Amino acid sequence: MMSPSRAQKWLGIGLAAVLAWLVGYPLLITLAEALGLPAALDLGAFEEFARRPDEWLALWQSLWISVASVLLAAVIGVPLGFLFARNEFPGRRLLGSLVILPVALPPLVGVIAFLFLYGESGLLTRSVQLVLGLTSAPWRLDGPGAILLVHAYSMYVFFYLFTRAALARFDASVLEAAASLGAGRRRTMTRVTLPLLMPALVGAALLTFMTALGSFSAPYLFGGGFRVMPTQIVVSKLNGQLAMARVETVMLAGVAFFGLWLVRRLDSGGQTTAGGVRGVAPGRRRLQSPGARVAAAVAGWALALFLLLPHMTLILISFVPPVSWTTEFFPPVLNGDNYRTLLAETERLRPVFNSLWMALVATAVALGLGGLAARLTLVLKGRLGRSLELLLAIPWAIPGTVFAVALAMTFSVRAAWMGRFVLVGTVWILPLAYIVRSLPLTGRSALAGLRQFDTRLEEAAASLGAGWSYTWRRVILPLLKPALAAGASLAFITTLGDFVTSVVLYTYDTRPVSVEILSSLRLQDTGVAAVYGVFLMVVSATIFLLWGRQEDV
Amino acid sequence: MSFLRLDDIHKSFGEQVVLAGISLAVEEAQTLVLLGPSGSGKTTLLRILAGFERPERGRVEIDGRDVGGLKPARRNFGMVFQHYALFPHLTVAQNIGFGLAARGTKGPELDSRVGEMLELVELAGFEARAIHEISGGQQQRVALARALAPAPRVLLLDEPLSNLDPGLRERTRRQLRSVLRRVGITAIWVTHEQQEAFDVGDRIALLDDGRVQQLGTAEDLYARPVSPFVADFVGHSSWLRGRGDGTGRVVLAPGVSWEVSCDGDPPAGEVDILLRPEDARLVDPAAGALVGTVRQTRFVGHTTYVEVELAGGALVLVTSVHVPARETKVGVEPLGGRPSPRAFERGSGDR
Repeated sequence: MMSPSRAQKWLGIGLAAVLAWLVGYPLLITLAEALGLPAALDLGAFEEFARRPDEWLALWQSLWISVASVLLAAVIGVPLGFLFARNEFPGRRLLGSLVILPVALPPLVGVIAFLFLYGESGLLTRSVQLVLGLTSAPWRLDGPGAILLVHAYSMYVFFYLFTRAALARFDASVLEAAASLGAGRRRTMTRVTLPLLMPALVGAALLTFMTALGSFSAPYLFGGGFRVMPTQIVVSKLNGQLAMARVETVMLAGVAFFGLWLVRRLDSGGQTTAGGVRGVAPGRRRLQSPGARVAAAVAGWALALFLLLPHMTLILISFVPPVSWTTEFFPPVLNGDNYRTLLAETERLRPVFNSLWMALVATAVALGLGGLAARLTLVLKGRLGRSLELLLAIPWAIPGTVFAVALAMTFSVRAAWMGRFVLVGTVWILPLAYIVRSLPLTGRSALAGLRQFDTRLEEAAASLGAGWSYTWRRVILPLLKPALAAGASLAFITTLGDFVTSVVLYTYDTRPVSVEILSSLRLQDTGVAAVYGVFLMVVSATIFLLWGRQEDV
Repeated sequence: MSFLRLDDIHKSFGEQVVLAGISLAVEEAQTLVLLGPSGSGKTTLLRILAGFERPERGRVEIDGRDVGGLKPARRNFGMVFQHYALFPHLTVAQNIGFGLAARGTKGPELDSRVGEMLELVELAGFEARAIHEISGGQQQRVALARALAPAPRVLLLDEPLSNLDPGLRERTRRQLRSVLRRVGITAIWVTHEQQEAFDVGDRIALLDDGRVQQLGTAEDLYARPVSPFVADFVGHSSWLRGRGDGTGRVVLAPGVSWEVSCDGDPPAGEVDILLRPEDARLVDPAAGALVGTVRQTRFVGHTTYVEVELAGGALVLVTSVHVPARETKVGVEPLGGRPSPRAFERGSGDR
């Protein structure tokens, strides 16, 4: 890699300042204000927090729900990963892409789909009630059980994907070496395969823990009296207890950082990559006996049905006209009324428009900032490069609620000389929040792409007389396209369906689809809520599939 | 005045000094090989020439003009990279035309120059192929054509053959050499392979520890090495001990003395004597010859190497047509009619 030029250094310093202002500054302001600064150091709010048992309970519940989510997700995802990476059975390819679907859908969509299926008046709940002739619903979808169900449903994908990717990189000769040394299947699994998979599993565990810790939609809608930190923060903020909200925010951020630190520590234990030339991954085993093949196929399709049922239910509900479905087993009337209502009223189309433009703008800006920061991280190295990388990673480690509250507190004060402006209540605060939340997605994928990028190609272009713009246009961007597309797709999907940040920062004029879904549900307008859900689902799935196609190429 | 001059180039990475004052000159249309073990600084020197690294001190001049301040893209130095660095998303023709297109050449002019280059490296008909569709040797030639297409003033080659298997390496080496001669370009070629250096270099600079240890033709380096390091790096060498008498003769054992050559005054005192395998012969173990026992013989096709352990324990390698049985006693003496073995004062190099 060529040494950085003076212009690149200054650009790096400028970009680090912008990122620090967007990412680090709001967190620092929140911490400072929670401590009573700048007036005087005042730990009163922390003492109040420490005195209140409900706060400790929420903190504890956040922790155990997150740990339990990791365990559940691992129990489902790891065996699935092995099944798909090591075995060949009918329908493997199609099922393989279906099983990652839950992660491609906005959390809120999954949550309302669950509500329509397993909720008190959900399709499945009613069916069971009618079949068994019960007078009330056989179960209630609330409390920790419901939250864990939703988490397990959406987060096992992390373990599944990480396991599959690690197994695909696996060197088959290592397994053959173990076998030639007399190790049986069990010993090979415990002494060779699992230790080599460890970095991937730790990575998946960290991702799941962070996602579960910051999870908001499921606890908010299903939690009932069961509070976790993200819901606790939003309730405090909505009740005007700003001092308490700040302390809660700081505590949740603290737990997130602690989790990150702990996993990094666990992960630095051993060297797991073998040196030298990498071999070829073991081939898939075709299940031999017809019985096993049928069993695998049946289990696979049952799984697919379980995974798709919530979304099929969502589509079904979107065709149920208002107040037409009361006690019947299956909706008696299905028509397009809800869609017509939505298309006829501009006010109702507004959230769709809002979500689309804000997601587009945020993705574009985050792509530019993240891509530039990633590039400078690698060019500058040193302290400046590391700071840029850290600033890109922070929003990933911090739960969405924390960022939303921190941005709300920082940008509700007019003090331009301190870099603070009143943005809360304006059209700019949500796109800004979306940009911050998208930065790790676009930045990290650009970084990953650039790390794989052979810098000698750039030198080759320079030695052939190509200037920087020609090199970017003809060499770097074309080769970086898959990585950038991956980051942009993820960022767009995430911001389009975002609920956790939006619910704290939206204004009436900028209300996004997710917030509108919630208010439709409150107004018992389930059909329209479902239509909004279908919109998010279709757009997200389309982008996800387009990106998948690009990957294949 | 030389076409390309390097003057007192210094470069360090952190604490590590990589180049400690390199000065070299290359005549127009000649090939200079930078030869040396890994870590000797040869690739860094090449990257400084290309403009990818900046030296802390020193000048790079071409045709009397200092080009040290120019960016790589403005130097007009072509480069062939060790792993070719071909653009994987472009075709063979697009790769070759890249440098021309970057300079604004287009249309028929571009096509004709690309065609010319394809002819030059014998790849006509491959223009539409993707890079991953052609063999390693062909990729090597595309890399050469790509570097030559914009008609650079100097061509830099960074271990251009190291990715090829031995048979292909020799053939590609011949092709590269012939293309360089035909184009008549000034070239700097980095390698760690002595054979390659001897084959392609008009002159060779042997680098070690960030310094030029010797600059000369292949014959200079082989027959007249200036230090034991150079002698060891280039070809097989056996080392014998002796004491110079100040007249050009060295006593190796009681009753055994050889005539030696050296730089400067005839040695007086302890010396190390370099004996190339083909400069010695096996004789009957009579008086006047060094006596030893045959320990191993190694047939390599055009000759046989015989390893003899001398009375003092030193091992000597000798080529021989006649192959003695192992453990027989033989005598070793310099072959007549060739330059005398070279002597180095004891402690004059890192032996």
